Amino acid sequence: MAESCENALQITVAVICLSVGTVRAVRTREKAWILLSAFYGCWALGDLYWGTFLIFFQRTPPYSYVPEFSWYSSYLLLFLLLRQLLPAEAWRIRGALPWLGVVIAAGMCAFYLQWGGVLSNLICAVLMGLLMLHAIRGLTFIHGSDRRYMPLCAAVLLFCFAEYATWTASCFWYTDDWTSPYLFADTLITLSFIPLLPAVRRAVRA
Amino acid sequence: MSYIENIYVCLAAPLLLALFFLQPNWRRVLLFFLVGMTSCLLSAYISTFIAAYIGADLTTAAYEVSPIVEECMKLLPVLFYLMVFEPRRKYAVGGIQMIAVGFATFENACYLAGFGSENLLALTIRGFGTGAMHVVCGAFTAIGLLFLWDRLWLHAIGTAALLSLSITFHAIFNVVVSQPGAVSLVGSVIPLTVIAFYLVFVRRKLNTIRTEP
Repeated sequence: MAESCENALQITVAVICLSVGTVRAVRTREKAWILLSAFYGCWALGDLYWGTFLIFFQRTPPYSYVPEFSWYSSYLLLFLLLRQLLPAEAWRIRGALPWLGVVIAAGMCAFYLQWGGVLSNLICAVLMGLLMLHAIRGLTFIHGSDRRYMPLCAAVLLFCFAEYATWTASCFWYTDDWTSPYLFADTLITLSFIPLLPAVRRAVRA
Repeated sequence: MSYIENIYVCLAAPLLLALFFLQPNWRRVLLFFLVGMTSCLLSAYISTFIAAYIGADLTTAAYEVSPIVEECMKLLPVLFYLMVFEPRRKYAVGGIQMIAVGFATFENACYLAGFGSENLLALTIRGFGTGAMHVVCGAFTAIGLLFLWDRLWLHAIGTAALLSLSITFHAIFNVVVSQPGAVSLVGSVIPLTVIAFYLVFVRRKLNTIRTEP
């Protein structure tokens, strides 16, 4: 029951964000808004498929290829959003710090292999590693006077952190009640959708 | 049991003959329509094979396997057309939509052969719902392929992401329309609503982009 409510909240927030993003995409014709809307759309549809299955069949999808594809695609779209908005200089930043994201993704992948499948874990690790690598590059780039991309990179990192918190919580404390850490972490994902909107707005204005 | 290859031959034969007598523009439209029908036929075979391979029953296959196979099969001829002929955007958009329409038409023909044609209201809802769903999914792919990215690797990643969007949309549609009663009606109305939204709010904006070469 608690998880269903949280899922409903997540879908609602994603759909509201999708609507805001779509309106801005139509008004401004900026690719960044289209990408952000597609990110929300992918996430919401993945959740919706999962929820629809639960409502109509009282069970989770037996193979779950469809929602997983959808969630992986949302990571890809977030990566493309970073690619679209961050300046070329940010992509050429060298140094060890950005690679911390890849190291974290690889380490967490090795840890999650105890529970999940190999392929899905590898795909997640590659996508999250890419996201964190470029978000940290963006943060390093804005370290000077230009801070317009900082909120976007911080919002993407918050999303990645929330994802890892949810996956880790689901390994140890997966229960369907209001005090479950898993639910808190999943709620953090929901909340992490919201800062992306003002962050993209600021980056697009720049 | 329906022999869908027999239905395909019966429907495709007159269209195939017409190809020889049409002007190039008309021929292109008809060819895309035929390709859409062929994709639908091949999708049915591949879905059945994969479902048997993973041990999925008929219902699970319709929700979890068919949407993935069908959307990929719709994309493949489009990719071929774009890579080999390098058409202008307006022709490519039209091609993607005609493939979707051909796919939906053949799917509906197979549905009629399997489930009968007595209930006009249900078939009208299904006809519009399925048609709209395939057109919407085709539109997602068209946006990814034609409008959003300027480099090949971005094209590949972005199109894969938007393909997944259309797969999930398709899968949700399949789950909802298979339910009895009003739920099925709601499921059919969803893609129609998306098309209405597109016609009212988005088309004018996109047309300005389409006029670009």
